[in-house]
Amino acid sequence: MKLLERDELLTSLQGLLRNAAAGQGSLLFLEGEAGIGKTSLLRAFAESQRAQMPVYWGACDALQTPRPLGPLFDIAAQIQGEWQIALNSNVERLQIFSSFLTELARPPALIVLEDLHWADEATLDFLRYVGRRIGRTHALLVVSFRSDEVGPSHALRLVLGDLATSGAKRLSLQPLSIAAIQELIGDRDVDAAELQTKTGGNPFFVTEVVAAGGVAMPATVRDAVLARAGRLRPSARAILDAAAVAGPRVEPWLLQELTAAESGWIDECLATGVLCAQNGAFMFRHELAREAVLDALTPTKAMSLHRMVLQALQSRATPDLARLAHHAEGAAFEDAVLQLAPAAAREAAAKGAHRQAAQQLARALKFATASTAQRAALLDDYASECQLSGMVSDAIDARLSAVELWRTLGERSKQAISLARLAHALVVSGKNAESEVTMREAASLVADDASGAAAVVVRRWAAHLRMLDRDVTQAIHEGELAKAAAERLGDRESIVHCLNTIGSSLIIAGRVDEGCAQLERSRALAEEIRSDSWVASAFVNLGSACGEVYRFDLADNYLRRGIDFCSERDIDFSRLYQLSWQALVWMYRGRWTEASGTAHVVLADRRSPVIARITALIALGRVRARRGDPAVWEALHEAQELAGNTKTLQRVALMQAARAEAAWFEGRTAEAASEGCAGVELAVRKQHPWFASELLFWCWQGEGSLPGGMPEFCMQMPFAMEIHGRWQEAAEKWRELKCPFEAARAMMEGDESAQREALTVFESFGARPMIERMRYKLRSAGVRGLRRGPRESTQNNLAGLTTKEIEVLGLLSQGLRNKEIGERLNRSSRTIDHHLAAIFTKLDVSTRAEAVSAAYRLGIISAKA
Amino acid sequence: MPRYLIERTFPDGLGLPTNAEGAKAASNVVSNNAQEGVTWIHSYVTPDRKKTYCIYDGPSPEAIRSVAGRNGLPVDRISEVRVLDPYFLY
Repeated sequence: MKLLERDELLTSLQGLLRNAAAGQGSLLFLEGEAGIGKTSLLRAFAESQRAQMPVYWGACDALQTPRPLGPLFDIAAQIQGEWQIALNSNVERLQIFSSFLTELARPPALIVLEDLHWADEATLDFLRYVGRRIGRTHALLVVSFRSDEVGPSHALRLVLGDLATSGAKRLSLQPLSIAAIQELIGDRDVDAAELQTKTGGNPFFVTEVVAAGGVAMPATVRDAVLARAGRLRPSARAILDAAAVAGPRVEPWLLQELTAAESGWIDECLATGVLCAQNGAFMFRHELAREAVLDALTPTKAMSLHRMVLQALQSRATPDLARLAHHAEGAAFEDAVLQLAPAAAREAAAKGAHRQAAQQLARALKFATASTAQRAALLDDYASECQLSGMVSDAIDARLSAVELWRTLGERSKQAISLARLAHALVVSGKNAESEVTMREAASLVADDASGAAAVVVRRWAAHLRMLDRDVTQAIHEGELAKAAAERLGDRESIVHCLNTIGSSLIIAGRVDEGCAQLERSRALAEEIRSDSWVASAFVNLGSACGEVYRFDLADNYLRRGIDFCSERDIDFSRLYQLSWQALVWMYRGRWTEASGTAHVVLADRRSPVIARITALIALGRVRARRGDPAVWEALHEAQELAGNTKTLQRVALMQAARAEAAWFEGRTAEAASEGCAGVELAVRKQHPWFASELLFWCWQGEGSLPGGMPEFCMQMPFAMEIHGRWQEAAEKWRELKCPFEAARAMMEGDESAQREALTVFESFGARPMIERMRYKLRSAGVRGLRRGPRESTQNNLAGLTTKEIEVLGLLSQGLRNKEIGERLNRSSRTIDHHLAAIFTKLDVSTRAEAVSAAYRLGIISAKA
Repeated sequence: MPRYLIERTFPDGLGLPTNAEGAKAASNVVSNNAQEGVTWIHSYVTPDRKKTYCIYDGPSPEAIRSVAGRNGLPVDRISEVRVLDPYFLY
């Protein structure tokens, strides 16, 4: 077919492909409405390149529930090699993705993935993975999608957003001009202007109208297609109907079998141009045409065709379960759906396409209407897949139905397990009280057989909830008992879970090394049983628990590794929660720009679970408060709303401490005390030394009182040292923990030289509320010679850097370390730390390299000749 | 979008000449701002050019700080502000 008005696009594609061949691969999104000519453009482009390099072609199908990684299977059929074998065997999908890059994308290649608006979750994960890494390959990956089907909440939108920062490019196709339409009409008697108005210049619509003979102008594209199909003789039309049901691409043998047709009738369909032969399969000239033909079928006709397709595919042992399940549903074959859909769900889940797995199970549930054990089991599986794909409220609803059904059936163990999992779903959505009630009910059901398989599952979840609620002694005790029972049964997943619970509890209880060791064992065992979600969970708890007990060195390291692990596997829930903790850890370590930037990333992502939002809001609120910036309470009010509902220590204490500090900066001391006080009772009851001592600290700062006194278990906490006037010890401890702001706050209570040092630190951070307090305090004590405003700086230096800071920057640009810079300038390396913090603040950067490049860009330092 | 007043101190005076060079510097600021969705509305400068009071629209205080860093401009204080117009009171 002739391509009109696409020269510019072809030139762009050629340019990108040339760059790719030279080692700068890229991902291009080609978008446009249905029928605008995406496929025609890509086919023409591919044809022109086939002689120079391999072209791989894959497409997503318009099935209600698409086959996971469908387009990759298309590509696999076009090549031979290890990658194809990997895809067909049960290899971990990360390995499939990465060997795709090494085997297919490393040598120069053009890869086309069509119709991604129909993509399954696993394919979108693939796209995300490859999109981030394609720049280092020699391949051009072109991905097409219908812009009119990708609304704001479409899953592909998220991928587009994620990849926009990785340099993915976008092109869109424009409608045809009148001149082009006139060219297509030729000398037929059709009015080009009217045709343009009617079709919006959509090439597919235009050609359908022209082909239909155009006596009366059809109103819709569907009418145009049917008018053209209407000219076929009945036997040929029957072939067209069968092909429409059989799917976007129909194998020749299948079409023969469906219609018992002589090839003459198929030839007639090909001759009119409704069907075409492509890569050894028949397909409609356009998916729009297939949809129109499909819509025009009567329900009984469609059903009987689905039946024939299913039988034909089954007789040839087709491995595509999603396709079989689709036709089984179309044929309304109950037994077939109940067998095929759950099998398709298992296949999807194994490939990480949890949303498609949930859809397949929902399909099966439509047919399993009787109150049977089969239905209850399907409901349980459906709930698990929903929870994994982030649809927690659907998971809760399904789990409730499963519980009810198991109860009616008298299956107490099954009911108990469903209840335990329900309890976890409730905690994740912040409904802690309901969760407790649910867990008690589960436990009561398995009370008479405490070492049975069901009881172990219930008990490990019960221990987990105790850990989350920071009843750590009880969590360790219950976790150990459940672990012993699991070991007797050889239930490895339960052992992984118990080790996780015990390890997390030990860290919170202050036995950090032991706890980390248990969690590491949990992680290693989770790797053995190939459970990505338990590996992720181990990282989450290592990072967040170490952060909660101020072991930021450990937390930072675990969070980094955990975030990498989850990013590569697209485990969004855990990735986002870890990012929120990273923001909090960076806030404490004085890296405010990174902290607030990361918090914004979490808050802007609608996939972020409630617990991640709470943590990110606290980090952001505290950075703003410490800087004296506005919008502190916007963040902290929302945090209060979300955390308040959970009524659980780990959310409430962080939130109350942040609010107390912010109120105190603003000089509202009574409010600071009452915010702190609001969490004290809970923190003391749970014997959490960090939370209890910090909240008491704010009561003390606010109103000089310690409600209930300082408990014995808090005495060695740096907050307690600050209260008790042991400022030197406190400052030392804070420095050890890498909390520069807290260290300076402790020094504020020290002698004049300590106070002067504190002021330098606060100035270096731009911590306005503390700078003002410290200056006021020093002046009140009669100290003179304090500068009123920022220091004198050199000329032409807009950033307001001091002469000393510029000197430090100059040495930094020579690659010197802090210690060496200190030696050159006769200053301690701690002083150099302060200077660096000030430089980072003023340039709003977070690394040494960024500081140097910003300084060059701003002309603060100049490159040596 | 919130509006912010940003106070800045230039100990040696703001070095933004009223010529082509100054215009170029100002247009650099505008294009840096655009990357964070920040708009510079206008500024007030004291006669000694040592303090400026700048009115900005931006999505968050962090965005204001980020463009200040990129533009190499100091920040003393950011306050969220609303317009109060005396003629509205009639």
